[in-house]
Amino acid sequence: MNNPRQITTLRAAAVISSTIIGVGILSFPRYMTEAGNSSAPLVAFCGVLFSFISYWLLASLCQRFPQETLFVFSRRLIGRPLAAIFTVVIMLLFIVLTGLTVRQFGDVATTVLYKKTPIEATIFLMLLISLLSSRRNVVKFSYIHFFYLPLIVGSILVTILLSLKNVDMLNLQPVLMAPSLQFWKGAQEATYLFQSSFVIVLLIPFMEKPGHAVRAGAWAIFLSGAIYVLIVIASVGIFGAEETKLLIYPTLEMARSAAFGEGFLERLDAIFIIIWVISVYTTIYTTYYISAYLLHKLLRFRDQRMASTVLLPVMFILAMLPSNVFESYRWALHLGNAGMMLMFGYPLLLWTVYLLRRHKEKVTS
Amino acid sequence: MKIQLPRTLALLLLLTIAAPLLSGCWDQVEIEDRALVLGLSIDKIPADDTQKEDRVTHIHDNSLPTEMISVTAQIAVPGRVPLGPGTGGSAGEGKTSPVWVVSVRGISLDDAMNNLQQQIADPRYLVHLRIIIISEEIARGSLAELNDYLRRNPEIRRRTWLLVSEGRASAFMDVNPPLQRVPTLYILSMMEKSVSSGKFPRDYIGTFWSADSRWGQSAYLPYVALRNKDNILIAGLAYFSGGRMAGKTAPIEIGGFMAMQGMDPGGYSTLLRTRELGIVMTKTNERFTRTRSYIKDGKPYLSYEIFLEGDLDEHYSSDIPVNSPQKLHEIERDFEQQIQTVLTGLVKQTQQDHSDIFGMGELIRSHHPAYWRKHIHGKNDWESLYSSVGVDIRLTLHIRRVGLKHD
Amino acid sequence: MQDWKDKYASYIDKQQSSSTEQKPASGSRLTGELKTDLPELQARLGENGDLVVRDFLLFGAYPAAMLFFSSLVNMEQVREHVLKPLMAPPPGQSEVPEDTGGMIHYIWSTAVQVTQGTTTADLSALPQAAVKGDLILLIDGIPEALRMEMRQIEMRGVEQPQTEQVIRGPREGYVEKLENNLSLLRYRLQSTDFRIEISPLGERTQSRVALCYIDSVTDSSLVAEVMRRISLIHTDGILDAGYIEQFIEDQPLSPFPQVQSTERPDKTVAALLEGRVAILVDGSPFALIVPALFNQFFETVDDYTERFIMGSLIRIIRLIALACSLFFPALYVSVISYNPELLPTDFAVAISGGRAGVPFPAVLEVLIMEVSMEVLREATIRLPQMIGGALSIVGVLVIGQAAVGAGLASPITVVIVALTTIGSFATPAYNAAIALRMLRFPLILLAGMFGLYGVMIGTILILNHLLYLESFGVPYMSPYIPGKWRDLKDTLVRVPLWWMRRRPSFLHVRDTDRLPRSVPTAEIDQILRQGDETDE
Repeated sequence: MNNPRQITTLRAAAVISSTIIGVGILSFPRYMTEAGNSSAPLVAFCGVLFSFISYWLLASLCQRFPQETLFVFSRRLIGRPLAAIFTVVIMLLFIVLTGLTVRQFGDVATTVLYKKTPIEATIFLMLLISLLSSRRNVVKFSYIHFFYLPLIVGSILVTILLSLKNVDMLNLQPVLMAPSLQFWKGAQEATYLFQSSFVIVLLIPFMEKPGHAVRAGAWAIFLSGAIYVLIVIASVGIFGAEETKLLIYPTLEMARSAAFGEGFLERLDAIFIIIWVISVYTTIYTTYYISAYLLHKLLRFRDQRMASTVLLPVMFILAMLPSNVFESYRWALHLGNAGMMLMFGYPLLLWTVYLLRRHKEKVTS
Repeated sequence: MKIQLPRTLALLLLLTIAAPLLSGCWDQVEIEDRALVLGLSIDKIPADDTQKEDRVTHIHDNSLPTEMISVTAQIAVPGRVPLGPGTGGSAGEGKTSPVWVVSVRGISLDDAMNNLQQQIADPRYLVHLRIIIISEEIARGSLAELNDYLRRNPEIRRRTWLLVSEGRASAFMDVNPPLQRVPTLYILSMMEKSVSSGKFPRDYIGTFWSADSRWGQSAYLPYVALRNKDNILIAGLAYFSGGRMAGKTAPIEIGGFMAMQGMDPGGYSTLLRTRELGIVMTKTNERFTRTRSYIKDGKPYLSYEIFLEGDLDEHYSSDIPVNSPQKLHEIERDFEQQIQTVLTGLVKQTQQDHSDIFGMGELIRSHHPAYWRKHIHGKNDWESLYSSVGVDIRLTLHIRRVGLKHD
Repeated sequence: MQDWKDKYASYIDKQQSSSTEQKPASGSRLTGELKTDLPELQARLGENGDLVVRDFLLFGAYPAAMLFFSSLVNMEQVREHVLKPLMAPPPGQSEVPEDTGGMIHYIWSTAVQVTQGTTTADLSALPQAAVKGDLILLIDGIPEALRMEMRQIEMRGVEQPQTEQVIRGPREGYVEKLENNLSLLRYRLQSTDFRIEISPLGERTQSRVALCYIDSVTDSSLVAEVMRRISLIHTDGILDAGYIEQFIEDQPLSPFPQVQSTERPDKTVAALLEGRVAILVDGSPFALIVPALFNQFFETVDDYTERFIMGSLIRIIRLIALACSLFFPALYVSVISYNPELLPTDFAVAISGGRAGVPFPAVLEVLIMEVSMEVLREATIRLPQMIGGALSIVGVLVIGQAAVGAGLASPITVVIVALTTIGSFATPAYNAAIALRMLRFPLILLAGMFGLYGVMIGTILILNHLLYLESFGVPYMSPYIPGKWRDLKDTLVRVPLWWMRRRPSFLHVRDTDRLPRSVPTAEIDQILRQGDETDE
């Protein structure tokens, strides 16, 4: 019963996809439409493909060291000091990511649902439950994601299905567009949402079959990618590209214009936000968990509880820094850029060193 | 397994510290303490009558627009609408209205809403705002400010109905229909039912906004009029061009519009004089439309093929029997000819007013993206081009049923 | 009787040695040597607290031994009609024939006074006979054993269980006496693999505690873990199974019960067959079943005795009731005070009318009503049934009506509170129902503070707690988490019994198959297909 390798491939996939589906779903269609007008789904799809390539780079490397996390074997590959620097940078990235994600969540909650509630209270509550849950071990961590994923996916799918009858196919045409700079930028922005698939690094040492890490990621990225693409299709299909660009939260407006039974249950947006709380929670939980884990390893705390408690005020302050919605979105974009470079560059570096070393070993032997 | 009592105690302590920070009930307003605005009407105030403003949101109005609007709100009064099915009693009939009608004025809608708040005790909430009626005068002016406020406000539903009224819009807030306790809800159910019976397209404020922001389509709204003080008539479509109302159609043209769009179910009956069978009425049940677009000589062309299915409803001159397929075909032929002229007239009319309510531009945009990118750089471009688009309409009616009478 | 600590130690030893030890071949014959036959037989029956081995001198001359289960036979009768004549010298000074057939015949015809019995030379048949309630007599020098039917199960005072009534299913419940309870179990589970370990517990009460499991099914580490936890109990008195529950549960601070307690022997046997462990205490009419999972608390016997479609539907309804009892008041509060836009407009207008005269905010109103409902429930639960019924009518009807009339509560609140209470009664397990009922109050408070967001936060906290919880090493939310498709056959829906061929995998059972694999699925399919044909 105390076998540490308890995380099945399916559960690893669930962790990744419930992490990916998060705060971004509300504004995602807007970014995509800004980049591609009626071809927004195509942009989103390209983004999904790019994220998978980036993920593959990372996971296939980690698969070669099934016993250790990235932070352990990187020390052997590029040396202790350099590895430590990279680990610190990754940790900072995830700390800021948590702060900004929770801030975006707070923005939505206070604009749409609770206008008088101070944003601090909403944010603090969300961080508090993440704190409470990031004190557990990785297996329990995967339980949580596995349990919530059907709720998240189910509710989003129901919203999409209810909206589908209002979709006007004309709005989605022309489907294809000539790839322009704008197009690639949009696709790049789409990959930001998938950066948290980095969590696989923590899972590999606990997976039943570490060799299936890439497969788990493939399922996860394509499931969550499909959800994202569907959301883009639905909101562009309903509103049209021009209107989608005007809306700050197109997905929310989509839930808002859907009705369940003629007029019997309207205003699905409140319900949608409530269920969206879960998906935000799972996302923040993951990034919080990664941050706490890294801090715990870096400072060699006895357990993770201490690290996660220390992080709470830091993240809270970070979340309070942006002064308005536009600023928090801009910061998130900058962070996404930085994250992309790191998530793409670091594995690439490790791969090169790894291949060189292996080559050398072969030569010497 | 180990009893981790100290840790849990520390946790409880943390929670008790957090509790006073968290307990605020900031947004808690009981439902009966909210002034739920159910309907709004917006009118323009005649220029000579602008002296009285409450100055709730501003003091100097030199730099502000001089035109003012008058907003009439219908607010639900808690307690006047009994819970559950009507108890049937005639106590206080007609005297206690379940809604409170408040009229305020202001420079913008938000300004007026703030003036309104200054006048009533309970905080106003627009979460149950279902109907907004604007007068034709307002609609012919710019709606940009109105749309901006309504879009920004998260309380507004995208499924609110925005109606354009003939004459003063505030008159609609005072109607007292016998079918519903709350007048606004009567207008709401009237609009919803007209959608489900095919009398009107599903044109919520959200649909209006979407059409308004599309480059290749112009927006339209229901046009309503008051008859006999309490009866509300759907008098046609108010169509827009460049964000302003450009004109309105006749009620039967709503049916024509829906036919062009292929919207089901069909709900309109047509009264027409045939050449040999006298006056007949047919009722349209189903509509199906096939559209094609092509570019000829650098100009967009569209062809509409409309297929209708209907019933023979009434035949005036009963002495001439309608008892053979040929005779039905005659009716169909005459119908097709006459309605075709109606539809062409409708298209012509909107082309003159530069209002593409059919979304022909969207067809061109999606089917001929290259042409579109070359020629259209904004909504105005299309609306001016629209008047020169060639439109070709072909109509086919199939009469499926003739009712229980044989000849 | 050993101490629990020694038992734990010897069990561990045995588990370690049993892997190397070879099982005795079945079908072996009696040797006739008492010294070899008796230990062999005892080994086959295993450690059992209620197994009695009585050796004596037959007719005062020949060494012999008698073997039976004390829980299955009447000791008084054994003494009077078997032991007494056998130990007495042969009547009438007549010669006792010393050959095999003669001796048995002599005993059968002159000494013992039982109605039925046989002889057998097959050693492997004897354990089965013993667990059926036969008395086995082995005589030194004679390679045949005499089986005498002495089965008598004391059923005195067995009544219908009060807390777990069923519509269809056995009507027997446990009584206070341990032997009776054990015999109720053995009577249902006539298997040689069924093990009962008995030892006293409690410094002063010395209450006998019985640990029951099926040896070939139950995970040995689970049995060891239960024994370990029981051996760690230090208290002066065990007066009920509930005492033990509090000592051995995983998380004493959790509101959710991690040990199932039942009054029903049939439920216990079903749990044992799945590979769980049951604990019975002398003097308590409740058995504890571990590990207990969340899913078990809304399952009843009726789900299994009724046909599977009905069983599944009722289970789903029960789950809805459970969700109602937990969330309804909180949702009501948050919709009324925070998000009235969720209501249909005409209903919202009407509700605001219903609440127009109520002086309290919705949170307070709901809390007052809920608390008074709990008081009412607590007040009626211990009253005799006649008075209780009358009082609850007075409480519900009169107070509810009066509260609305006096403007203390709105009619909708009364409806919500009534629905909640009724919903909480639909959860079959009393302790789980209480847990959910109590959790509803923090949820209402959260709803009052943050509206739907608060309810969601509360729900996440509750769900996370459930996901973290374990009962004896098994995740509490099994089989949903960690999910295995094949275990989902007995969760929200219950598939037909013939489809549940395997035991739940989360219990790590030794024998995963309920049926031997030799019974092929094809056979079942064939039976089904024949059924189809006859329909046509």
